[in-house]
Amino acid sequence: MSYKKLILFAVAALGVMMFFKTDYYTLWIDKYIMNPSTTLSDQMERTSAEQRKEYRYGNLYVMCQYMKKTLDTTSFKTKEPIVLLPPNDYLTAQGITLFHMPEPAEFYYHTGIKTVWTTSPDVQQANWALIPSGKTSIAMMPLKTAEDRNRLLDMYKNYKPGL
Amino acid sequence: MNLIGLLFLLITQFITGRGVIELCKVKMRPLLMFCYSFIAGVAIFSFLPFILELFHVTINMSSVSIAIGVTTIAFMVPLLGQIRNFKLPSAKDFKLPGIYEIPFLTIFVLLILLSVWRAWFYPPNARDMLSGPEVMADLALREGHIINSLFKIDLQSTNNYLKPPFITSLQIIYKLYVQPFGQTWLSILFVNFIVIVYTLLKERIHPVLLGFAMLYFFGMPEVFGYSYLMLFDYSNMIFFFSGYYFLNQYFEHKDNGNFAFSVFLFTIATYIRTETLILVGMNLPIIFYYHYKDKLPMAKSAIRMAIFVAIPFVIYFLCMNVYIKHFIPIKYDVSADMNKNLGDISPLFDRLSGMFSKLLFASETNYPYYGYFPHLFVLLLLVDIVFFRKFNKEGITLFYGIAVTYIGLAFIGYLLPLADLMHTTKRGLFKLFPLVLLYYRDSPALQRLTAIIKNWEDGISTPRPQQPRPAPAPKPQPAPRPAQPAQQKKK
Repeated sequence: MSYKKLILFAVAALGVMMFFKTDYYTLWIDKYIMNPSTTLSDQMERTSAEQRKEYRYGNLYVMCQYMKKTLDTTSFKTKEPIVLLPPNDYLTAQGITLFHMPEPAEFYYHTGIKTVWTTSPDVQQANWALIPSGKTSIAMMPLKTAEDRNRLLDMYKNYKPGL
Repeated sequence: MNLIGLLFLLITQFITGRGVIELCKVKMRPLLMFCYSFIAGVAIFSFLPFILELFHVTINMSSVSIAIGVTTIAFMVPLLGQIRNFKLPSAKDFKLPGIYEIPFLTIFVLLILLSVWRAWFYPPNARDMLSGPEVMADLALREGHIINSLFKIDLQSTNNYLKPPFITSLQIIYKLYVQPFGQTWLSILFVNFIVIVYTLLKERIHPVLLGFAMLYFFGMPEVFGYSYLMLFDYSNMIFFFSGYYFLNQYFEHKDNGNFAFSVFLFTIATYIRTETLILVGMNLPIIFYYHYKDKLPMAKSAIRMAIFVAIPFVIYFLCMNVYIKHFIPIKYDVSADMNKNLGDISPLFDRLSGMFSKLLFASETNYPYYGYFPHLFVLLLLVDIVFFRKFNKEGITLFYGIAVTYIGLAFIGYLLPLADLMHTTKRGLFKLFPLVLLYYRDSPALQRLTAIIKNWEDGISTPRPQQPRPAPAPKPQPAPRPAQPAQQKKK
């Protein structure tokens, strides 16, 4: 092999090393490519669809599974459960950072359950509510009467729902 | 993961895409043909569940399989006459890389593998997907229709269900055949696109220079991320770039095949993001310019230009005026989203300046979304302008494409304020980068550098640029001897 090709090889190898030594690209590699919180070996141990969902969606997925399970096993059966979601600003004001409420379409994707925001035109049909329970947990609560629902809506009235 | 399902889709998409290329009668190198067959196949398949929905056919394994079968057979017909000439890329096309390509190729292959893995491993996560195309595809498989129970829930927080059904359709097919999260189609587009770009650049510039250019291209975190994060923009970028490549091939070879394939690719780009139609329309001046320069009859030129925008417009119309207007059960009026004060053009200039200072050349305090790729391009362009000042036809077409993208995106932002700078425009700018990358092969500076490296590598002394030399002075001709008097001879 020509020594000139070897020189070009050395230039290429050196160039690649220098590229990844610049601050910007080092950060890119550390943060997005070799992200320590999502190592490849970790991922290879979780290859079933359910495991991957849990891995990707984290708390949201756990919360969705909890909602589904609660509605499947509850004695308070409703023809069509419609869950009232707390506004994210309200959760933040309560110091709850572990859970972030997605929009109703995303909830429907994960659970097949209809949810409503406080400003939704169907909010008066809500018969369940997802409420914070302490700072690190959430709970499902049946809304058996219009009073239950209005009490919650009153509590949320100063918070605009949104992402 | 269903490997047989994936193989089935790869084969049927390849045949379909190859049929599209054959129908367009476009000629290209076997390796490019191979890659573009997959890309065109994915594009055609993205219409199948959509068409089933338009005809109110229930979407399930049987109907989708029949649609795939019929499509593949239909696109196989033009290939029948070509079976004897059919060539897979030969060993010649897969020439082994030089040793100095290995450091770059190692990095690229690792990044490609990572992207493919992540596209497979991660479920879709982008908000635009989970409140639109992805949820529509997921429910379509359970309920049999793209228009499904999603429209019975509270959708006040989103308008993502109004996006064209390109991703919804592909997700339906790939969820049915490959894996529950679909998305593998994105990797098919990505891998073929990278091979195409690498091949095109390698035609004209030295692999070491190419390696550095591609390294900066891969090193755009914002762009690379979307090679596995499912959204519209990466696919839109691939088809938009390819449209320009074949448009330039048309300018160079003046054949209908390249023109037809370019129109097809721009049409798919419009199908993916309907506002691309504005950018497609902005190409008419350059087409007219080359028609005029090539002395194409006016009538012929007008017909071609009409075709160039009419076919993408048909897809736009199908998405906006048929699908959204008559199928989506929620009323949507695009004019409601338009800028009500078009007389004030300051937002247009704000957007142009924001694209420059907040996106392309974001300072260290902002996050430089595209790394140093834009800086490299500006530097190269300055060298080309200052020292060479000579651009070939492809370079000019690409400059035009870059200008169309930059100005067009700002115009879209001015026309539709919902298309905001930090989301829509930021991702819309992806379309610039492959055009910039392709320009590298036309850059006089890089071509000169390529010649110097190659000559040095091959042991040939580098020829200096030819200076016009003064014409050599004519050699003095010997004066004709006077005829000797006859008597002297006798003497």
